[in-house]
Amino acid sequence: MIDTTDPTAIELALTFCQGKAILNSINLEDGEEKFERVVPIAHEFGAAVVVGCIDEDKLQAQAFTRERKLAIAQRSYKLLTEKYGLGPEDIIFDPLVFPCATGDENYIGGAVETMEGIRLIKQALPDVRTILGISNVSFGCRRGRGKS
Amino acid sequence: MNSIFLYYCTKAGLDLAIVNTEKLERFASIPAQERELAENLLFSHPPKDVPADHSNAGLLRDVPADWREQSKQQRAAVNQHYLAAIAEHFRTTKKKEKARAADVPLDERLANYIIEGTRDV
Repeated sequence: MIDTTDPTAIELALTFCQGKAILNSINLEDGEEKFERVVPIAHEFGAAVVVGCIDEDKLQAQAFTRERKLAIAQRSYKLLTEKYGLGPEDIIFDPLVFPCATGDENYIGGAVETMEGIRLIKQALPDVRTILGISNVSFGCRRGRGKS
Repeated sequence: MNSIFLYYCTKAGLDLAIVNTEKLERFASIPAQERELAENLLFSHPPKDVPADHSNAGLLRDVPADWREQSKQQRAAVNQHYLAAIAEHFRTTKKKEKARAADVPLDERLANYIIEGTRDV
């Protein structure tokens, strides 16, 4: 997995990667800019791309509700497959995980929304993959037994 | 909490996950009571058996099952209720003592090595 969106670094890294590479990650936070810079290189090298469910929304760019996760995934999917010619099997959506043990009221329900977001994305776009950084859900828990 | 969240995400169709495999508890080896504690928090389940003298008893009764149908006050009260339950559980539960390998019969020891993995040589 190549963890940068710097096109020069990506291109260089891909020339050293054997087998299937994954680029981490792009999203629509600044509009299509990242897509334009990164996706053509991914396409050229046959790499897969992680796409976060994030868009230009000023109030909450990171999608929290299942509906917004799905809507952003569908919009990204349409762009990536139709405009950039990426295969659905090379798209990996990250529906995002929010901490649920910090007591922050804004994040209550986040775990359920992530699960249901996955379900909706896989139903609507069965050929794509999904990925999550799991440990964010327990962010704020004291480190200790049973909490990992 | 991570294991239980991962379990339900996988059931919903998750393909890939970034986890610390060394620290991740296997779902099947988590005691039922601890699993329920985490599930209650993750799903904002309606609390059961709330004592009448609970400081938030009013908010914790007749809570809708779907967190989206809960009022803002209910959501916060339910969340706090389960966070407190988890903190209480881990404060009062002693760390499981791992039996020393040498004290366990050989066939059991071998089974443990296979299931748990081992660094012993």
